[in-house]
Amino acid sequence: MSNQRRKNRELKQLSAYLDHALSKAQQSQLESRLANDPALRERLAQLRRTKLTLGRLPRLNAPRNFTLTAEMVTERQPRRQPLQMTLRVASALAAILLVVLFGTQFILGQIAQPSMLAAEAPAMESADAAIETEPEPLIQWGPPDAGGEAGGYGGGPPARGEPILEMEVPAEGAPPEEPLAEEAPLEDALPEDQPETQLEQEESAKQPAEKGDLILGINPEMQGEIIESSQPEAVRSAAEPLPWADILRWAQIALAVLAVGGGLALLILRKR
Amino acid sequence: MDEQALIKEAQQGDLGAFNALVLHYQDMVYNVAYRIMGEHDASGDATQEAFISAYQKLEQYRGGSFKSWLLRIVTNACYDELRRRQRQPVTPLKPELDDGETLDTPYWIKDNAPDPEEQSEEAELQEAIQHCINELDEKFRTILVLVDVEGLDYETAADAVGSPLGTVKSRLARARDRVQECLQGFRELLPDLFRLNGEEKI
Repeated sequence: MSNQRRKNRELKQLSAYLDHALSKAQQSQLESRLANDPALRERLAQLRRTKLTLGRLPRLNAPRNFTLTAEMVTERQPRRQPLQMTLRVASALAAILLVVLFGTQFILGQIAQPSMLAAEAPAMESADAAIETEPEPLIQWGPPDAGGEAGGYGGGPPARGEPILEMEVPAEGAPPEEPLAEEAPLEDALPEDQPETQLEQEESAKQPAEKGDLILGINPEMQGEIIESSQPEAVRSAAEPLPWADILRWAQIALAVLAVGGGLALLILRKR
Repeated sequence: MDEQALIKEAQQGDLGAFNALVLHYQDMVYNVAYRIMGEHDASGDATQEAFISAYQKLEQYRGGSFKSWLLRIVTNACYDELRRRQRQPVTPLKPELDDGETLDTPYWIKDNAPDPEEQSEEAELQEAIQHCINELDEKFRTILVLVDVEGLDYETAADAVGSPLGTVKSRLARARDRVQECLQGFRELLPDLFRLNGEEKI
């Protein structure tokens, strides 16, 4: 590889030497090498003969005059120019419009965010109202045996000593907010080897429904009914994408195709 | 001829002034085009194309060597023409005889110049040289034509092809080397001195 490089460099030097295109230093260095290297001298001689042979080629005269006429100049210009100009302008405009549309989409997106939130708020309000007017909730606080699989241990009242969450409880049958610790002082009566939680479960199971201990469960009257769990209509419509987003997307695709296609067509026309 | 004055007038739309420049340079332009393309018709097309292109781009000329500027346009026109011909290759026509067979020897396109026996050795040598030039890649060919055929210096040639001086030197050296190798195949046509040395080499 380095040998080939050396040969190429040598060839370049010999070629430049023929045309007196070497610096003084390079020239004297090469001449000293030529004096001692017959192969290099032969190489130089070959190149010189080639140059002389090429110089033997006669200078050709133009077979005719190539002067231009007004028609040649004016005919040529409109032949390719209108198409190229149209493509150039169209693709440039498409690219600019594409940028503008992206910007518009971004700005509209920024504006639409708060308005969508605002649109969601009344929808949620109406949903709340709908919940308020709903006569019988599916899930309710009630005694463990009030029905539903959720009753029992999982939804039981908080253990003694734990903080009690304040909750709105249906007024009928429910006792006022009383500390549960006072209500069930059974701790001393329990056998020591039984785990506390198990005892609590048993205890709560023994308590009558009228006692009013609250537990999360399904309203027995509504068992078996199919209840639509999706969002209310107002909320759903607010979450749907706006129709202009689709239009904008299609416009962007069309403009991108126009910009890229126009550019490619220009390239092809230019190469022809 | 006041070249710069003609250029200024042509830049202002004077076609007559531009045509004066055309007449001055058309031989050089045609010669370069022919040596690059190796074909008369294509060279004529490229030459005409180059002058039209030069006239249309004349306002882009910002001084300097007009010759170099024009040569750059010519070489580009030649490259374009070569590419166009590569895309649409011209297939030689073979006339059908009455019996439907085609002629292998296209006598009907043979020119009326003297037959091969009458042609001088010089003409054959020129054809051989042109053949070897045509064998080169177009970038090497252009540099070789500009420097060794047209006799331009390195700077003008570099300006004409828009390449650095080092690239021009390197391409020229390699082009000369390749042409020298190619010409060994035409030793019987070469001058005695060339032939003897070629044989010595073997």
